[in-house]
Amino acid sequence: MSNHDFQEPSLDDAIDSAVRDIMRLDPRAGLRRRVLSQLDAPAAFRSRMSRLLVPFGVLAGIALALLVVLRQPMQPTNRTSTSAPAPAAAAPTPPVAMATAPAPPSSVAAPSSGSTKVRPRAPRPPIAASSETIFGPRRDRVSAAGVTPPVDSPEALVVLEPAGALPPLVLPALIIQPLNLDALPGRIR
Amino acid sequence: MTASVASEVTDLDLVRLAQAGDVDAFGELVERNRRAVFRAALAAVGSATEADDVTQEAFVTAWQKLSGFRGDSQFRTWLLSITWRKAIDRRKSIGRWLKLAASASRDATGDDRSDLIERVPSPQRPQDTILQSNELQQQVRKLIRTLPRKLRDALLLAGSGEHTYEEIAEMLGAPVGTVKWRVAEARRVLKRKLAAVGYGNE
Repeated sequence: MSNHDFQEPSLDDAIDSAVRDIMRLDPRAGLRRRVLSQLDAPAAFRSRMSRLLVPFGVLAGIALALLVVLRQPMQPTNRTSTSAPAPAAAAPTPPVAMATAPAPPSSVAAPSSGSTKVRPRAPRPPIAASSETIFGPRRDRVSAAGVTPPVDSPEALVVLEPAGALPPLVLPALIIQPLNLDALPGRIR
Repeated sequence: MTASVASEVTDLDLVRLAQAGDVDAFGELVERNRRAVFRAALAAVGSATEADDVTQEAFVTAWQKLSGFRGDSQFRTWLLSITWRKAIDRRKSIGRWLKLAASASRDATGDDRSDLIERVPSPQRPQDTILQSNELQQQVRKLIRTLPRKLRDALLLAGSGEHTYEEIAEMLGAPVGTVKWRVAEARRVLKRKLAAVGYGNE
């Protein structure tokens, strides 16, 4: 026992009192004003808005991608329609049509953009004109110039221009005769 | 915002308004929690000036992070956690500064006083001095500063009258039971030290 007869409760009180004394302080006046003056006013709002804008941006990106995807099937259609004269020239179509078909403009043949590149083709002259060049008639094409005009007689054979190495096709002329009904059996008649 | 209206509005309502950019609502939150935040900071740093700075920083940080608060816990608990982290950072920087200062002082005087902040005066006291109650309190205050930090933090936060054990546990990152044990242990250590200097029973 010490000279100072302090009991347990008084020590507990002294501890409590000392702790309260240490912690009794309050913040300096004007804390609210000082805090608010330091706030970047729209910071939280901006942060919240940015969180909202992110999904909006993602949606916009998806919509843009969909738009691009939906537009892509239309571009080949346009290319086909604009560059139709070139494949049509290779197809065996009537010579008149080919002769009158205009050459595709080079600007149309070259697509402005797109995932598939189409090489610009050099404009081809009409087949009928090309079959009669200074080098003579071209044998690899069927053209009006290469076809032998049919003779007046129906008995005559139609001879077609040979295509490549194939032998010429010879077809008998089709003779149409009037139907003789009297020769048929009486039951059918 | 009038006092009657403000009392009806919960912290969570104010938080929602503040999250939408309402600075005045956040100002009301500052007003409501200023003392609890300040005293938490004070318990950590031990200086009113430093605690003021920490309090201000804590509120500004809370505003900046407010969009991340989802209301899973009490706003006050969340705010006190921010405050405690700020205060501990400040305490560490003060500790570093004091160590530097102590080192410079030791170099200058040759006196080895490595821990200025927790240095306790000699327990020797004149036997003929009659100790008064306020003198005892002064002694207790000095001894509180010598407590291990974990015990001192728990004792001061619990004794501030501003924080529940749950809030203290959240701040310290320890279970409530551990916090209560630390408070009781702090008292035991203080009594033992007081007895060692002549107060009460050994």
